[in-house]
Formats: sequence, structure tokens, C-alpha cells
Amino acid sequence: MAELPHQPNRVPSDEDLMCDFQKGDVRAFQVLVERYQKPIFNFVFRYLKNREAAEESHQEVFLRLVKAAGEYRPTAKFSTWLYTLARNFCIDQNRKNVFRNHQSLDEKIGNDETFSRLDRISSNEPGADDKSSAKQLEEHLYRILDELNPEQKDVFLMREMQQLSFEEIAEITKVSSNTVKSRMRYALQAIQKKFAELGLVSRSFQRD
Amino acid sequence: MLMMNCRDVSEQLVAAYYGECDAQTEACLVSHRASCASCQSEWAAISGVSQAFRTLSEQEPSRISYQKIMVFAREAAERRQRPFWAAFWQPALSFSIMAFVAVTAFVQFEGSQSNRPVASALSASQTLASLPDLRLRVSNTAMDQSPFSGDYQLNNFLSGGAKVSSASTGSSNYALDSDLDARMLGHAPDGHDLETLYYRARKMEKLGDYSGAFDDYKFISQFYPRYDNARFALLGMVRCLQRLDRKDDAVAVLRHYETLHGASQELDDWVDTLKSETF
Repeated sequence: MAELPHQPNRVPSDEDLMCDFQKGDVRAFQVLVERYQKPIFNFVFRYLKNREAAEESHQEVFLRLVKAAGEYRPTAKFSTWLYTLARNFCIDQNRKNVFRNHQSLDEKIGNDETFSRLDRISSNEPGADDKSSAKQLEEHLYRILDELNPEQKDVFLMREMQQLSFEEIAEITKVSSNTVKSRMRYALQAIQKKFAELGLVSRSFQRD
Repeated sequence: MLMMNCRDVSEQLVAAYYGECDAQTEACLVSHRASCASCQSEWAAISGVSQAFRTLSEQEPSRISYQKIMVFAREAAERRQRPFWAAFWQPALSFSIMAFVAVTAFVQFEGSQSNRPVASALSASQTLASLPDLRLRVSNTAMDQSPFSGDYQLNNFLSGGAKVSSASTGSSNYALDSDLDARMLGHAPDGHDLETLYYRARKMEKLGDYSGAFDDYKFISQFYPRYDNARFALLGMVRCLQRLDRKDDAVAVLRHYETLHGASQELDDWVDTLKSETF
């Protein structure tokens, strides 16, 4: 019996799917949404630190993607394009939030004007015990992220949390790859310093 | 094999940790780390930070978001697949009716004003014609004719002495192609909400945050020269620089504005005022 030619079930690339969507294939776009909705949501969430805002913002990023689909050219890597949209949208949202009061770890809890959320986390007051250590660590990490220089935070989130390459980050942030690496290094140093201050990690990243 | 000292290793360590350096460099790093406690400690520190952040829980977007996105995508795809004339016939019909009504009203009005002086009508039309047709001017502007091309000094000043990013010259095809739409929609193809940025700059200027307003005006002028409000952003820069007591810079931006949009008595007066304040 003649052997049937082997046809590997090739997974379509993001770029192919986007081109298919340009031709009207909604199913192709659905696959893209399934691939990227969660990563983009988490990216936006870590940027904006607010679930409700992240829900609205990540929808908006995809809506803009749909609107701009006609302009997409496969010469550009899809993920880079999408993250550029998401990052720029988040930057604008954060700029808008300058005028708004938003809940932060420094905000006073309830009627107690004495202790902020962070005080509770790091103190032995009742309440700190209620939280699991994982939750405490998470709050520390978000606070540390928040205190990073915006450019360093940008690079750190994309490299560490989204697993984007330094080259991709360079294209998204429109700076050189070396600058991106340098920002990442400073971000790691700053985080390590915060870790040491909070007693999370004893070793120092910085050389003596 | 290349010999590396601690400084060389330190520069490559981050790239190596994330698996982004070549095999030879990586081999050198491994070899150096094995015999250097300091670099080994640095590596462990990177690893510690990385491991800590990987414990952050992943968030799940809601199902409703997914549905909303897909509904929008389906509608957009359907719109794109409609025959081209389908998009025009309804607006064309509305336009025809409106045009008919307008022409009828105009003819009646003209009949009732038949002895009106022709000169005033002429001067009104001339005034309209003399107004700068920004949209036309902008659409005729090539992408590389940014407000910063051909003027190194100003370019250098606007970019804070740094190299102007490729964003201003359009580094990718889709950015070039969709820039035109971006002007109309107020959304840049790379996701920036230009209307919001411009509004924010105006708001900050009003509140007295001239430094913040200047940054936003500069961002708009530098990276989105074809955006409708880019010319007003340039003028915003001038106002902010004036308030920040940077009169020489204000004059430079104003002169640049003149080269782009033409001189006027009002602009000359403004320059004179700035110069008199400077000296």
C-alpha cells in the first residue's frame, strides 16, 4: 500500500492568523485572542494594578487591534505590535490617573488613620496574621514594582513577566537593545535593594 | 576561549540569565562564575529576584471581555466584507437630500438678498480661503518632513540632546500606512490616545504645571507631527517655555513653527515680546 505523504499539522503563526483575519476570517482572530488575551490582561493588570481597569483596558487594546487590522503588515512581528499597543495604552492610562485618586498600599485602612496597608503587612499587628505569606509577598512585590523607575518597570515587566526578548522590548520601547539590557540590570539592582531592605533576600546584587 | 574579567561578566550576566547571549560568551561566563564568588553571588541575586516574581499569581480575564472582543471583531470583519458601494449608498442618499435642501434654501435666500453688496460676499469667501487648511497641509506632508527635519539645533533641543527615536520617522510600514487614519481618529497606530494626551497637556497648562504640559506637548509634536493638533502642541510648547522662563528656547520653537505654518504679524509680535523679556 502506498504510504500517504506525511502532512504535519502545522500551527499557524500569529502573522498568518492576522493576515487571515484581514481577509475576513474571524476564526483566525479568535485563535489570536485565545493565545494573547491572558498575557495581555496580566501585562495590563501589572501595569495598572487594578482589575477593573485591566478588564476595560485589555478589551480596548484588542478593539484597537481590530480597528488597526487593515494596516498590519506581516513584516512586523505580531506580538511586538500587540505589546506596543498595550504598553502605549497603559502609559496613557497612567498619565490620566495622575489626576485621580486611586487606592494604593499607602492609603489608610478604614477609619484607622495610624496604619497604612504596608504597615500592617510588615508589622505584628493582628491582621497581618490573617494573610497568607504568599499574599504578603505578592503585595510586597507589587509595591516594589510600583516604586521602580517607569522605564525600568517597563522593561522588567516585559522581560520577566511576559518573556519578551530584549530585541522585542527594544522595538516596542524604541530604544537600543543595549539600553534595554542596561535598564533591566538597573531594575534588578533596585529590586534587590528593596528585597534587602524588606529582609526578603539577604544577598546583595550590587558589587561592593 | 575568551578570558573575561568581572566587569565583562557583569555586563553580560543579565543577557546570559535570560538565555540571550551566544554560546561562546555563555561558556566563558559559566567558566568565570565557577571560579568567582562575587559573580556567582550576582547570578544568584538575579535568580532570586526572578524566582520571587514568578510566584505572582496569573490573573484570568473575564469571559465577558472575551465575548465583547469577539462580537466587535465579527462586526468589523462583516463590515470589511460588504461590497464597497454598500458603505456609500446610505450616506450618499443622505448627502443628496441635504444638498438639495441646502441648494433650495440658498437660491431662495439669494433671491431675497439680490441687492446685497457683492464686495462683502467676496471678502467673506476670501477670508475663508485665507484660513490655513490644516487638514490639506497635513495630508500633503511627507512622513519624513517632521517638524524636526532639517533643523538640527531644534531637533537636538526637542529630543533633549538624544537621538530622535525612529518613531518620528516611522520605523515600520504599518505605522506609516495608518498614520493618516490616526490623525482622523485621534488614536495613533501604536496605541497612543493623542486626544487624551493633548487634552491632558492643556489641562496641566491650565493648572500651572508648565513642565508637565511641556513634556506632553513635546511628545505630541515630536512623534506625531501629522496629528491634527500637532501645530497647536508646538504653540503650547512656546507658552510653557515662556512660563518656565526659557525664552530662547521659546523663540527657537516659535521660529520653527513659522517655517512650518507661515509667518504672521501675531507671531512676530510674540517673538518680539519674548526677546524683550530675554534681554
